Amino acid sequence: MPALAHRTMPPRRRPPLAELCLCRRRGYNGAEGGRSRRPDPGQSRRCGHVRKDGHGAQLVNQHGSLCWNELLTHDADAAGSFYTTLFDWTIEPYGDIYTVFMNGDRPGGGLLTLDEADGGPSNWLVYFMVDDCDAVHDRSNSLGGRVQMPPDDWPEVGRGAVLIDPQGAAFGAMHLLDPPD
Amino acid sequence: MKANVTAPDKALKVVGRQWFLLEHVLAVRTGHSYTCHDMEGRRRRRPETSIRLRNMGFRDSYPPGTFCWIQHMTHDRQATRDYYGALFDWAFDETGRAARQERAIAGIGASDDASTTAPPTG
Repeated sequence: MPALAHRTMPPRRRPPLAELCLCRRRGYNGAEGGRSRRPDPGQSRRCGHVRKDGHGAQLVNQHGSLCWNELLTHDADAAGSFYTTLFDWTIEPYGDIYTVFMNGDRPGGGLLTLDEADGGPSNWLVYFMVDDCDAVHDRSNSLGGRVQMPPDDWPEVGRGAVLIDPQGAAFGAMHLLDPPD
Repeated sequence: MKANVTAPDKALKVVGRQWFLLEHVLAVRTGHSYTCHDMEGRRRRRPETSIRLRNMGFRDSYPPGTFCWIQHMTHDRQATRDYYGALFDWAFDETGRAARQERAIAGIGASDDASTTAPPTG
């Protein structure tokens, strides 16, 4: 790079001041605490960390937040081809009856075939991470919720249950043994 | 006896202190620096594990194709808030967004109400 490049090149686009982190941290680069970096020399005493006030859920895989999504469908083949085409997901079998949607190299959701007896339309089921599945199950019962599937150990995954809230919406509560970051 | 147990710890602390100063003076920049800056901009030893654990599950953005939001459409917003607030210790802001640790988790909207909550958009 030429010596005067920093004078001839246009300045890097900086976020508006309102978006800038108000902290005085210099070189702090956010959540990972990994590679330290200095701000642009002479540009700002601020750290350049852009405070994003959300982009979807800001907390996942912790107690009471989203940890898994599962598509319950009567036609697994059709649903699999639909979503893999729609989102560039890929399909990976997990055990005999379960299929995982892979978003790149990360698992993005599950696919489970409904039995004929289950009835009801195909739907997505949301799972919340919980610290103690049985405690949440008991608390849900005391709050007027119903149980679709009582707590059960799922090998290598954790312990989960499917509950129904007083308004009739089904959701899963699952304690993951090894939650991802 | 107690002194013998703590002596290695003290020696390690001295070594760590020396490296801390060396990094500061020579501005040693390695991929995983021994030091970092805290929220106030002061140079600190990097509490690697605790920072990673403390920030587990935090999300600032999502790659395409990732599940990023839950919206609960309900006919009885208050009852739904009461239920999930008691079940998961969710706190709700004035728009109905649920949060824990001051971080948004989900929205609760009424299917018969036009003023449904929306996920935060950056």
